[in-house]
Amino acid sequence: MTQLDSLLQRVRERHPHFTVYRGEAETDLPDQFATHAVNVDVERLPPGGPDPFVVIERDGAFVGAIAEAELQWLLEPPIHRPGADEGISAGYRVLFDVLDETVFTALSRRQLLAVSREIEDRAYRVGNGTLGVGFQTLSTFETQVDLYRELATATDLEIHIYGATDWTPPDIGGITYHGNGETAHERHWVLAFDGGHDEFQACGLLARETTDAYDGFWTDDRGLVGELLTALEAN
Amino acid sequence: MGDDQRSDDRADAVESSGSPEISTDQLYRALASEQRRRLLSYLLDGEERTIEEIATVLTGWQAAESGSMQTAADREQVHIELFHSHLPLLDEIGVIRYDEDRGAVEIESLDPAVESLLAEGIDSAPPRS
Repeated sequence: MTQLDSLLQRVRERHPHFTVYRGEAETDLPDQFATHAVNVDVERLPPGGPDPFVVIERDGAFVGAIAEAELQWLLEPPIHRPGADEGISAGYRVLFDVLDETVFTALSRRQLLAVSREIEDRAYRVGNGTLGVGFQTLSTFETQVDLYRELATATDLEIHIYGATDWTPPDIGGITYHGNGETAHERHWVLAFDGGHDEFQACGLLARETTDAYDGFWTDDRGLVGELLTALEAN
Repeated sequence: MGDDQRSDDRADAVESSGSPEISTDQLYRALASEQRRRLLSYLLDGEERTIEEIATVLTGWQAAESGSMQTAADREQVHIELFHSHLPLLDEIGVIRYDEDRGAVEIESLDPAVESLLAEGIDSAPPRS
């Protein structure tokens, strides 16, 4: 298993798990969290029970329980959240992690492109720092050359392009190529930007092609973005 | 709960306690605690539950009631009370069957009147609209 695969696996495993417990009441919570990094199950309670509540688990362990009504209120924009210094409980932290770290289970190529453009655009606006991009093969990069030439010449970004060496890309100042063999052994779609001088701009995307879609995550978590860059280098 | 099951239970109950009937006094004790009323209400559907599941649901119940996030420490407290107090007590009275080795809990038999009382909502709070 490559480092990218184990990173993907680790992020998947630490996904929180929500269980909505409810009596007769319907819930649309699974839909509301459909695009987030969380699995949502629904359990029915016998009559005479409480109002619906949500149990939050991570790594299979209980971290919190909250009334569903309370959760709905937290989800309504503007999203209210206690400040970092308020000593919030673990349940809230997982909840906000979930809301912050958007993850998809099945995403189309078009959607992945949109996220990729967002990451490239962020790197362009910040104008410095490291941007790592992994392609299956360097020939896939061919269609992107103009865009990356612009990105490299208009900014001080250090751009690293990874991919199987089935094509010789043009020399462009600011871009370093890392050919990793001649066969595209993995089907990863990876972008990672460290945020340059503004680490809050760090962002990354890691997806793996499955039979009919892509499976993976994108994140604003600086630590995770750092791990992505490291994994890219090691792959 | 079907009749066939109940007659099996009765054979056990006669052996262990001498009577399948639960005295009013015992029942009063069983229902005197809100936590035990909630526990019995949760078990009413006849499903076998683990002590872990019960601890989670009762903690969630507290969350629904209080409107505030319950923590792992809150759940641990619920778990301890279940393990040391509520489950042994209800098992002794005979309203639940508690298999300590497996941590499995199942409702045993309840007076239909008590059952409907529990199903109607047993919290001290006024009935929800």
